[in-house]
Amino acid sequence: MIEVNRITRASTGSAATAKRRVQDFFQKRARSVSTDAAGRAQIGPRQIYILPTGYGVLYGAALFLMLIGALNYENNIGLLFTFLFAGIGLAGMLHTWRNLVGLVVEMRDGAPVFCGQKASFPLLLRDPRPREHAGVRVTGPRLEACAEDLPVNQPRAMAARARAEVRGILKPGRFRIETRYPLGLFRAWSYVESDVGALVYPRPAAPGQKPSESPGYRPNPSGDRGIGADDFAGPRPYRPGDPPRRVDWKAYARERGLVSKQFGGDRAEELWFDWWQLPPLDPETRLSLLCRYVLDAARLNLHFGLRLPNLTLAPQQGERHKHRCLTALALFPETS
Amino acid sequence: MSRLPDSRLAREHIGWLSALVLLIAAPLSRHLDPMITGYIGGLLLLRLAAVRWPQVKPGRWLLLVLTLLGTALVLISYHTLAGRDAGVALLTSMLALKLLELRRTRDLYVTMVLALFLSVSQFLFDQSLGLAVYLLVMTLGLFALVMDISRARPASARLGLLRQTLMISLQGLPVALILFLLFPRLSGPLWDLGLGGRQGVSGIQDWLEPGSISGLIRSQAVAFRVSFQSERPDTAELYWRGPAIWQTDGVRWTRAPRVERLEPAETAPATEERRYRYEVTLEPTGRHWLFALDRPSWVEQGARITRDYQVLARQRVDERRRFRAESVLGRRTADLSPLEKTLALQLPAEISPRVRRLVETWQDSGRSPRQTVALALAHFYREPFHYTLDPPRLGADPIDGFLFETRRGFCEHYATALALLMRVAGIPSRIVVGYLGGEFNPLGDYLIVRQSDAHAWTEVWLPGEGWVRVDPTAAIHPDRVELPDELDALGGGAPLRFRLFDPGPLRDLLHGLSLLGDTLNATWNRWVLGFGQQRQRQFLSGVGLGSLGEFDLVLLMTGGCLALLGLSAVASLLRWHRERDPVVRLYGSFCRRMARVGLQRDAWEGPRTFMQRIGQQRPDLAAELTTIEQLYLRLRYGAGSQTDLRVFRQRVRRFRPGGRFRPGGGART
Repeated sequence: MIEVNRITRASTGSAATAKRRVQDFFQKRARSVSTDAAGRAQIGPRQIYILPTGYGVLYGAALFLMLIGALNYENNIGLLFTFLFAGIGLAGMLHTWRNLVGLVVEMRDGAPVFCGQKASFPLLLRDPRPREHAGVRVTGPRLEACAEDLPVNQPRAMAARARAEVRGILKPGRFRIETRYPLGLFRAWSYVESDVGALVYPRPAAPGQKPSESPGYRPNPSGDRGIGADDFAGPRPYRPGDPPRRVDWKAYARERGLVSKQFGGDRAEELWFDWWQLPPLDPETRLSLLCRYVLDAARLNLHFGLRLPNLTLAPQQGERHKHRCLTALALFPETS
Repeated sequence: MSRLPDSRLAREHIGWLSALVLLIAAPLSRHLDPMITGYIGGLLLLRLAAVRWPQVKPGRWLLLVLTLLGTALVLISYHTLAGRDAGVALLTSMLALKLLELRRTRDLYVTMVLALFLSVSQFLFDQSLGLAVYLLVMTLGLFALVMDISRARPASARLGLLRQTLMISLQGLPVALILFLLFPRLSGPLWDLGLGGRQGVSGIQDWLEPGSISGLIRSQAVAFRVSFQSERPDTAELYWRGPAIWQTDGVRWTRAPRVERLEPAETAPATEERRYRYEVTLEPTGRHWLFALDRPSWVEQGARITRDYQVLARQRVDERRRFRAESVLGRRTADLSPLEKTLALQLPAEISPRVRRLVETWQDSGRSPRQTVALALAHFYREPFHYTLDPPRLGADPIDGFLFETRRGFCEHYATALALLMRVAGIPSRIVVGYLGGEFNPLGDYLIVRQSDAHAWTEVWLPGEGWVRVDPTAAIHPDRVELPDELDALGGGAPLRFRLFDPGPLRDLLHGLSLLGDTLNATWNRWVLGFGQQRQRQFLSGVGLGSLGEFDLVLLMTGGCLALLGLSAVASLLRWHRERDPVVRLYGSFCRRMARVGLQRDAWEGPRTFMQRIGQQRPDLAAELTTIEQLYLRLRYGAGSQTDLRVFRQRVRRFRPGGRFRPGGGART
């Protein structure tokens, strides 16, 4: 990864480096809005940057031409119109700035996603004052832009999406909240520091990849305990005290009387997904494979454990266990 | 999801933009070549049709062909691509073509800027108030459209959008006014595209022959407007003096440039002289002379008064021109110079014997020139002379024919005839052309002088009195004044000497409306169109800024705009601080009320501890305090709704802790 980066930088030359340095210089010094403990950030009047857009520059150039023409021909009505357009442009600038002042932004953690998918960070925009904010756009170096209008006294929920390209924790970091409303001549923006993140699981390998070697089916060390919770063993008549979940309600509906489902259990071999048992691939591929196994096993509701160089998760089953395993894979330290 | 800055345009927006461009370009059809108008109109209609039926939209190749066709048409019509007409034609056709390839919001912005440009360039053709208002409305429509585009989704309420556009424009108005008043004007053009505008200017000429004024009398066009700074003279004294005419060949009378070069002669002050100061706004004439009340004594810089009391401007009046002048009535002029005497007695080569005989009958021994003049006027009164707009044609000796045969004529006939008769009698005379009277507009407190007020009269030089104005037209018997039908329709607007009948109430109303329209137009001319360098200087010295140079103006203007922007920003900031959090503000007001009754909140006290403490000290308030506390906590730290906020505000505002302790009762009042 880093290697690749170095190559690109070398090939694009010093101009790009210089540009990047300038950008970094300003980025580091730019004022930004910090979030409070609740994750809310209110944009204050001094945290807003404003510059003309390309269209604003075009508008200005056209006004300049009109001005020269009107002055040359002493065309006072043309002059008045030109100045009126200039005045409207300036008033628009104030409105653009005011369109951000006082806005409260709240970004929350995104739900976990797999690498290659898009993480979605819930966003709440509101203004405690009765103000309209139209055309508010949220964007960032890693975020896909999204826009929304806020009518008076109506908070708006939206989702900022970011493509998850590396497993681990995806942090959008500092993002931008900007607007061009009302005239599109100026763009006002604020940087908002955010500490939210979304967990990115490794990209699952293509489905159908069976563990190549014996992935270590082991007999349950505690042996067959007869009645368990895992494997359906067959029906038996209902006895008082059976939990209602075990009652075969479908059979009852078919008027076969009360029948309890009996589970024989916990005697299936334990499934271990083991880092060390995989072929000697690079770590990311191994994590992809392990991710696929975990997903498949969880779909089949199997009992499985995960063994990584840095930690071992004892065999269990269920959604929570699956997520624990996937989290472990996501957060597996990068080896280089 | 929602729109991003450069997303595809909605069909609705394309439709609105096309309609607005069509409306903006429509007034141009009066000025552009019909072929170009047809081409552009066709493109715009095609565009509008394509909004409804997208399949008719031309493809890329057809567009290219259409572009080439447009350029070719402009070249064929104007033989150039530069210049005002060709330039505007090209701009309009490019705009129409751009409309046919609208795809993204960026295209809309570019089109909008072009359309604004097109609106302003139309003022090169027409600067009327009506057009300005029309284009203002249309351009505001463009701004509303751009506003809709800058939103995430199209606005649900069109009316709200228009209201916001109007608000922004009103907020932009002060800046526009500062710029307009203070922006330094150029004294002359940097370059000249040769904008025509000389053609078709009708008005008084500096020569006179039968028919040269009666052609003007049917024109209702405004010649100039006058506002008096002093009181107004009587209507009968409103002789507006234009060129003075001396030389004649028997048919045509012309100016005497040699007299004009002379300095004005000293005049003797009269016992009864009246002085009038006024300002004239002269419509373009394409000539050098200005019009002033007979006789001008002073005119502001840029013009001079000649020996024969013409006011000549240094520059040709190609634009509307405003000047101040002063006239003195009742002052005696000086003796004639030899040159003036020669010119004022100059006669055409041939004078018919009938004319000589007529003059001889007035010249009995001992009659003073004044008496001779009176006899001549009496001749016009007694004999069947008619005053008519449609005089019969005259032959090679028009004066003879008029005096003895047709006896029907207009002011130029009478003025030339009298001048000639006086010269035959040995009395120096000349003719003055100009305007007589004018209509007072009470709404704008100014006088409107129209082309139909054009007039010519005679001046004779009498020993001891100097030049005296003699208007032979006034000597005609009123019964023999023929009112032309066209003038009947003008009602009160008819020239003074035809205004003989009562125009009736409906005419009066219409006439009042037309006066109102003229007032608007005059105000428009004065404050917008005429606000050039000269007028700006006048305005600035009027407000005590006359000493400012151009650089100071720019500084003042920039400072003014920045101050305006700063003020509105500060106003927003103050409001921001005030409104930052209504809950915090209301809680603060609640605490202040408690403090007033002696229950000060300590800095370390959170809402709960504080409420508990005051609840113990004032059990009478306990119920109310609990409600307020709950609402506050919910609003500040929980999920308070808008209803909560409203109730909280109500409770806090109504909360009167008072000083009295009422056991068992609430504190509600």
